[in-house]
Amino acid sequence: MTWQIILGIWMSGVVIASFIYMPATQGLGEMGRIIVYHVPAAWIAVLAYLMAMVNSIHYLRKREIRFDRQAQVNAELGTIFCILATVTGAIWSKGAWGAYWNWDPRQTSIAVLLMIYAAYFVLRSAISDSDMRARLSAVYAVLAFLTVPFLVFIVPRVYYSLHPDLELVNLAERSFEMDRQMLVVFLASVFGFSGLYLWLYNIQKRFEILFYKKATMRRF
Amino acid sequence: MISNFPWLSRGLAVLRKDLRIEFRTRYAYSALLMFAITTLVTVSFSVGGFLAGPEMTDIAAALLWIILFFSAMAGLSRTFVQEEESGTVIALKMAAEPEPVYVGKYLFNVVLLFSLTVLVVPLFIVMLNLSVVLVGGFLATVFLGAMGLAGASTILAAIVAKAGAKGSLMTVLAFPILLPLLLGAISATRTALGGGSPEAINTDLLMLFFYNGVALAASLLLFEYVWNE
Amino acid sequence: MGELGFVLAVTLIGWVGLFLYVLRMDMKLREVERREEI
Repeated sequence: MTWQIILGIWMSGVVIASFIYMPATQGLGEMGRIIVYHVPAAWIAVLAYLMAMVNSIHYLRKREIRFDRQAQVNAELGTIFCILATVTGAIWSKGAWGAYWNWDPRQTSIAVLLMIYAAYFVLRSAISDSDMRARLSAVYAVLAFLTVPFLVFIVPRVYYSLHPDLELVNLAERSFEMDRQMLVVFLASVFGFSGLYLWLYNIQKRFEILFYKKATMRRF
Repeated sequence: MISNFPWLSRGLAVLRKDLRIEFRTRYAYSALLMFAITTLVTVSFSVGGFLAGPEMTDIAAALLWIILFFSAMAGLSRTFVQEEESGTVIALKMAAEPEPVYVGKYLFNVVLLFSLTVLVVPLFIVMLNLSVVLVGGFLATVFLGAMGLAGASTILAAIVAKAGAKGSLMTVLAFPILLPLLLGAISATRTALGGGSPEAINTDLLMLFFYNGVALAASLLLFEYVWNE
Repeated sequence: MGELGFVLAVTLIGWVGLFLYVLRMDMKLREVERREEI
């Protein structure tokens, strides 16, 4: 119970600090504060997906259904963080480049991640047999993950040739330097988000275990 | 020499069988062709005369791959469904390991798509009044892009067939996975049509090449999990 | 500062609300888990 309270206070502190302690960013002004939420959310979305892929591989090798359940939980959590990352990214994009959406390399990749999550759930919902569902969605999760590295290298090329002027702004964002206060709040936010992810994962897992126990007991 | 690679020789047998069936019924090919021609005509009718210059090459590059992508979705999604429906799955499973089955189906899809592109691409160029500057690069892009479409679509078709093959499932699953291929192919096509630097197209071609490699390797490794219970 | 304060308030309330919601779920789970032990 204690660490949940700590997490609650920690993130509240991060929220407050991101508005009061941290100064407004250069170039982006007040809008830039959103980086404290956007980047950690995106990292957790990717981390959750990575975990889902690892779970999927475990399932394919050992065929224990608990790995499939873990994969699903990670996918659900990842989707939530991914939506958060996409929305905050769009807000950032509006502030930095004037449009909510502009096919910036990172924006495209987070959108593709969201599409992968969506496709994963569509696939799962189409199969009623739990073993087949576990097997096929595991294969899909691994396949989809393999395409992610390509995007990291491709999208920048396509993008630059289309919108050379925005390229400058993107480069500026990449060499974005954080003064010490922002860095502190940012790192604290990364910790907070990670803690939140672990807590939500833990809750989901316990819920699934109880649910599963109840389902098996009903058979008697 | 081919007998040294049992996967390949058995795979070719599967390919031959599928080609024979397809030649008789022409089911998959007509699905492909019908979709491609319809979209091609629609596109060229509405866009053909109106744009010119650099905007045209950008849009044309994208349109070509949109047509090819959705044609592949229409034509390749049933690759394994026919086996499930006619009950030949068990026979195939007894006759060979999963890998040759995959190789055969993959080659079949490659043949299908190549036959399609050979028809559609020249038509596309003519109907939209395009001129190809980097011919070699253009051909390589179409070649690698079509192969990549086939590569990713084959294993996805297997998944979709097991999952019940409901309408748009193939497209939903395929789009995120094929997106890097599409973006790379579009970028390369744009360079080839508009006459950009060869270095630019070479990086794209390299990426397409690796995409094909990864897709094939991953599919070979993962196919048995889809094929076997 | 007013507008910023508004966004701060909204974000803070949003976070605290989410936190309390998940905490409630956590506590309910513990309750059920304790009963299962018995």
